[in-house]
Amino acid sequence: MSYRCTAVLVTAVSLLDGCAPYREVESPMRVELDVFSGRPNPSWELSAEEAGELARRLEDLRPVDRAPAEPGLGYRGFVVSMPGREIRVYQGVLTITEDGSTRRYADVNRIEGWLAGQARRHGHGGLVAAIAGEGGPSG
Amino acid sequence: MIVTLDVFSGRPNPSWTLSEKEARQLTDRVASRALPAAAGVEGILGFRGFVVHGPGDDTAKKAALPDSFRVGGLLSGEFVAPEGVAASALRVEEADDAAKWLLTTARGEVEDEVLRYVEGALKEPAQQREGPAGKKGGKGAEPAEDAQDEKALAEAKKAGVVLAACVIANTAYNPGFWNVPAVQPHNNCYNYSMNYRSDTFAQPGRISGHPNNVMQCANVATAANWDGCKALCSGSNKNVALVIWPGVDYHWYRKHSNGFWGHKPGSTAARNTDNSGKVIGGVLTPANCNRGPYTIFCGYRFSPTGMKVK
Repeated sequence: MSYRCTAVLVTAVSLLDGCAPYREVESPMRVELDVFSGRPNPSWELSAEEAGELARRLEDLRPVDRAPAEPGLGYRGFVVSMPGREIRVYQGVLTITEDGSTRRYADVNRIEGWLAGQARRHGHGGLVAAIAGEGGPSG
Repeated sequence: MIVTLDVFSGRPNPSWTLSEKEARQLTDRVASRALPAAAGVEGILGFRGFVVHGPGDDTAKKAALPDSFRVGGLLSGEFVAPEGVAASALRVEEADDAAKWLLTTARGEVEDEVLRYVEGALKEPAQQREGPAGKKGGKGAEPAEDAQDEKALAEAKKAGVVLAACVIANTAYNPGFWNVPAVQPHNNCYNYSMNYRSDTFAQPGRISGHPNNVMQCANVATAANWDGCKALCSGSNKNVALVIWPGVDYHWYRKHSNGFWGHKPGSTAARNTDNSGKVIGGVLTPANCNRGPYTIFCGYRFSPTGMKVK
């Protein structure tokens, strides 16, 4: 069983029928590095090109039963938000919450590391280095 | 009518008789309404409300009141109404007002220290109150709960500062208040520890106009001090603790009347466990529990009852 990007990004990305990369973005997708307790988490918007890359990486995912360990203080993953959906990537597991239901998939296309690389490019390199020491991805 | 302040655990609760005028005033507030039953909720330390009895078994009925009832505090969920009266229940705000008024009738009947404690417990706004006032301090307090920072205490004495009696009023653990979609994402560790839902992801110093961006113990503590937090206990307070991820972030814990500590990491669920999944109680404290990257323990502090954050 595979998970197609069209099901994930249908309201966020246009022209999804082929799941080809580099599609136009209709509504912004926001990525949040969930790591702080007191301060607001760092966040940024995906460009159209980045949203297309994410859509490509969301193709052919493999469902998993296991939930990642309950996160506490420190690194708790990346959260991609779009209208009606939320994708949390943490410890190699994508947790997709949509319409009140939750599905989990293995991060076979290394989305967590890719998002860590994005965090670096958005000026959070020091934080990415810090969470790498806490079990987070190094990007 | 006889009023009993339900507050003590070991000692008998103080009682006094309302004057005729006071009895009429109370009747005006609550007559013909369904009122909480006099039987309180068990297992709660600290202020549990006022219990009102008629002096005889006919007095209350004449005044369209139940024989006995409870005003303020934690309610058992059981309501009573005078016979033959189709009554609407007393609203929380009305009960709070009646409790505050009843407290004024206690002057001269109840020790000042106890009055101040109950006054503090009643100041907490009903809509923000997540649980009953839990722990009465003073002579009966656990040493750890009202332990003062000796250095700060010495400095205060040197400066001639006179401190009011320390009353610890920690509340019961109530994650259900915080862990719901309308609340959880919008309130952080600072909201939780100060027990104030602002829905603004509150920051130390923001409500008082003294924001801080330096993630070090002294800076975060000072910003929180501007909001009302303090190193020394004076008056009615809850126990809180501050830790720091050096240069990156801060985190707060709050002690509950259950004896353990609770906290809320960012927008995640409130909990009473550390990063190892162990309950932060007994020998495990904010100082020695697993805090992930929040490696610096700044110390224990006091958050006044009713303190607000933004």
